[in-house]
Amino acid sequence: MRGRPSARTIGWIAALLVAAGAFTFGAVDEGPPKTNADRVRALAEDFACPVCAGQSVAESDVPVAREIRRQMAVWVDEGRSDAYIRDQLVAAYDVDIDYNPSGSGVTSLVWILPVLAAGGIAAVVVMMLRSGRSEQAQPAAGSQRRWRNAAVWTVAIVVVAGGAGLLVARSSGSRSAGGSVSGEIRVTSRELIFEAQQRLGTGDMDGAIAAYDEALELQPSSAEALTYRGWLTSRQGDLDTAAEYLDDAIAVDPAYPDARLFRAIVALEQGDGSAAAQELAAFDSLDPPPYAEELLAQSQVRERVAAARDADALAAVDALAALDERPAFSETDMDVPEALAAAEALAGRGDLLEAVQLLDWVLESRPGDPDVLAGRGWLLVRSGDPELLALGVEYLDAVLAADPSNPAGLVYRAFARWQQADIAGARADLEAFDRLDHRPPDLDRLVEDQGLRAAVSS
Amino acid sequence: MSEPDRRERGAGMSRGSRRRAVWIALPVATAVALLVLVLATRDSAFERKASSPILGALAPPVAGATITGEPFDLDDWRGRWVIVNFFQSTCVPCIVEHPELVAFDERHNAAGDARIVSVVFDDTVENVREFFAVHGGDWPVLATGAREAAVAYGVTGVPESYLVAPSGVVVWKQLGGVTADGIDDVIAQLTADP
Repeated sequence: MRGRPSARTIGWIAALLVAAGAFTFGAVDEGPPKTNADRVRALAEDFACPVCAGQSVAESDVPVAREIRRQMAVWVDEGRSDAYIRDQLVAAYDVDIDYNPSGSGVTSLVWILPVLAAGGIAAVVVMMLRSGRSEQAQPAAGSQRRWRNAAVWTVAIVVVAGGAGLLVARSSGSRSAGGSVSGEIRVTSRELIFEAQQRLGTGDMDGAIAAYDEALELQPSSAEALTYRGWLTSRQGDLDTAAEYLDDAIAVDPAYPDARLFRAIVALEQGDGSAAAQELAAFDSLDPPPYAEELLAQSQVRERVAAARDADALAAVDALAALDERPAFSETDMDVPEALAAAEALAGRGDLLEAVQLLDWVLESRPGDPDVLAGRGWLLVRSGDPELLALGVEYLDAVLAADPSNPAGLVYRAFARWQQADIAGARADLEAFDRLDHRPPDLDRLVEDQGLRAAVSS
Repeated sequence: MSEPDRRERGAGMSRGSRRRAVWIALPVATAVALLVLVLATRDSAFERKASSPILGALAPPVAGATITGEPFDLDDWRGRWVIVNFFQSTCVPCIVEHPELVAFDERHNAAGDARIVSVVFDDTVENVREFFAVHGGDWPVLATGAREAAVAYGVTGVPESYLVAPSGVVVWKQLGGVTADGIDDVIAQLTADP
């Protein structure tokens, strides 16, 4: 009969097993999130969608889950800790949102009770084994001591080596081949965006897209990377995906003009003139930088949006005209801006009477609407007929009597007074318009393009 | 072995096994009982949704820029009742609710004792501008900073409204549409003399 292995042999075997286990763990464990995007994804999986059954924030696409994901991206990019994000969400949505219940308060029982139960069971089992063994007392005290020593060494080695293995795995989790042991291999998203721009300059679209993707991994809430990733996607013909990137960019930063401009272009290419007009209006309200204005001019977005808007509006009017009995304006899907655009389009093709009739039809449902009244007055002012011009001024007077700061009323009446050679009156209206806190950009452009400012100041 | 011996030995094993089973079952049963107690004494899922951890707490920040570009900070309205209303221009209950908010604003605008701030939820500024142009309403509508506010208040859908007391504490939450009379009733109840 062979003797038992010595304590040293057992210790070595245990050390080898633990070392192998630690290295295996290090190789298999994914480690901490490598990028901010990874971290957002991991965090989103840790929280329950507040209004969905059994779905995490990462899985759900309801508005509240989307908003939480976007806010998580902002927090992560700001460098907030997981604990901070967890605290914020629990403070707002209660502990039910957290898939990992906290270790304090009543909720801690979720963790404590199973451990207590397992510990209790283990204690009972040990007690039973010991009592059974004591009934069969063995005299080999030396052998027992060796076994006890071996057990102590094994436990110590397991603890030390396991701890070391965990530390190594954690520190090397994001290390690439050739990387340092510290695991710090990141470049900034700004550098990646710069690299993408350079690649784009050399015509390397795939390389640019890859660089923007990397930038978004590091900083998922980068409006610039989202915008240009969306723009390049649209140039590859995938308009729906491009729209998603651009919508995300606008959600992150509604005041980023490039995103608005590209979204308008994509909407145009999707055949949605109304959405394109909205984005262009938003772009105009942002005081865009010169390069964006140049891009706008080159791509003729304004002209294309106007043409699409007019076409949409005329199609809506033609559809109404084709009906045996035209419904009331309030019973249609048309809104006031669309009606005004349709009236402009009708007037533009020479149907002044039809344009006026269209706005009268709107006024039946919305009597006294200042925008519609101003639009009707403006049609008459531009008719070239002195009598209609005077009538148009009456409409504009009515608008401004009700609201002296109505921007359209002020600009249109300034034009009317200019035509009537009332330069002082035109100047007064224009100065009142200039004093407004918020001047619609299209009216600003109208004033400049038609030379009104130069005319009244001379 | 005789039959009585087997019966006697079997009976002895059964007693031992039963005792061990009792020892093992005891901690498990205790743990399960405590878990059941914890779960049974909690509010139902619906009650928790209708409630909110921010009720009774200082109102989370509502700050940023409005749809007209003006800065807004809820703290500047300390000393007044404030309805913080989360909404979306395309949501039908929000459209139904809106005239009630207009009525509430008209009742209190002159006195300035109660105000409304709307917060855009998952919507575009352009849609919201159009919404207010069509449906009326002349109070601040937060655009920039709206998502931060929605998440801080734990908004789960729209419309959703919170009443902030003059002290700055959130005292009431309404899932779904509000009415002008309903809000006034809440304020009246909270300010009623003893």
